[in-house]
Amino acid sequence: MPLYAGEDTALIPTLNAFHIGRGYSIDNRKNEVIVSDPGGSTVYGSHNRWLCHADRSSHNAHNRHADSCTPETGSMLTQMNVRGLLFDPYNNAYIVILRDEHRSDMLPIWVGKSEASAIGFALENISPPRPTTHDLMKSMLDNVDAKILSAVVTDLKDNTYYAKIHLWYGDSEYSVDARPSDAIALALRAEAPIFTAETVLRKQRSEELERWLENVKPEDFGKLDT
Amino acid sequence: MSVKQHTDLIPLTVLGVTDDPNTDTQIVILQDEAQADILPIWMGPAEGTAIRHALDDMVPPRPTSHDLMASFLTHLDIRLTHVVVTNVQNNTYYAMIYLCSDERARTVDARPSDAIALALRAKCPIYVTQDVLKNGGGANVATWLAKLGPQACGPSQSETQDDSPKTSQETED
Repeated sequence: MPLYAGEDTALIPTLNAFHIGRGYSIDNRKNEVIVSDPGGSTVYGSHNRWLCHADRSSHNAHNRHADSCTPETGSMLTQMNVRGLLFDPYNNAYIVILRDEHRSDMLPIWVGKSEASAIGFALENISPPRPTTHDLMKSMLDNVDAKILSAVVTDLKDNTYYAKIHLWYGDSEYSVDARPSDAIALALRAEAPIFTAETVLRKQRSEELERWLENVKPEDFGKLDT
Repeated sequence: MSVKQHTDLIPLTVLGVTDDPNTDTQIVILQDEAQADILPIWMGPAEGTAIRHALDDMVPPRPTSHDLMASFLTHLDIRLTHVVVTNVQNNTYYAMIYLCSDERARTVDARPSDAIALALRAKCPIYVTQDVLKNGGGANVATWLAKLGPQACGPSQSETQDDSPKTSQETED
């Protein structure tokens, strides 16, 4: 858990790299992230209660503004929906699953417990008796007439995801550095679209491949000369 | 400004955050300037950590939720003038956040934990109403102390043969 403190990570801590190399995979046909136990026998995810969330599409009037919100990298943006939340039993952490509209790309982001519940409440439209931290954030912005235009996952560096929240306030646009978990929790509350930079999707795919390669044993390679 | 309208507001300082050995919660200990009254507020571990970080001036590699909130205020040039613990009902504390943007004062309803975490980051004063301080603190501490078992006072005290263990010691960490 300390490895997660304050960060939204793309990878399981190295401690568990072996297990996860074997135990974690994305099934794009079923649109599921599967976390299996070290023996590979138990599959979590398919029967996880969080996964029953319907896709949260976020088409709305803000899209027009959001299209102009390209991150510094100048990379293309892909709109993502929040597919749901999964519990990762190895790390006692949660995984937020983002999926693009064509359902061809998935972005799993590991987050802490309180960040996950902030997203979970928004997904399930639960409003607790007292405002949560993200409810307060939203009501503070509403109070001063600041509008949340979009949340963008902008980068993936050293297994940590970076995001930006784009705001409209007064007569100008602001972008504020944030963890994706906060950005997503806020975007869901404001019904603002969530985007991912194309570069992040690419990096995430290659890190996944790298992790897979690390676990490949010599006998996994076929003999080419026969 | 609006502080002057409420003559019964008492400024508080945050003494510290401590674990509640009875439950999975944390207690933030606030004290008035005369050091006559103590206001303990129970909150979840995430909220407690948010206050601890601010007290320790700890800057994590990535902004926490409360850092983000403070960063919104800085970016949009909104001033946090003060926060007030306004009410206590059925053991739940209520707070109010006072903002100033475009020369206009605005108030936002909040949990005290968020209000305090934000006030410490924005370095603005924390107040409590006289009523809350009078009604809130004492009764809660008494109930809480009554529930404390001897093991909650820590092993060091029994080992050092201190026959008058002070539970208040925890609040000074």
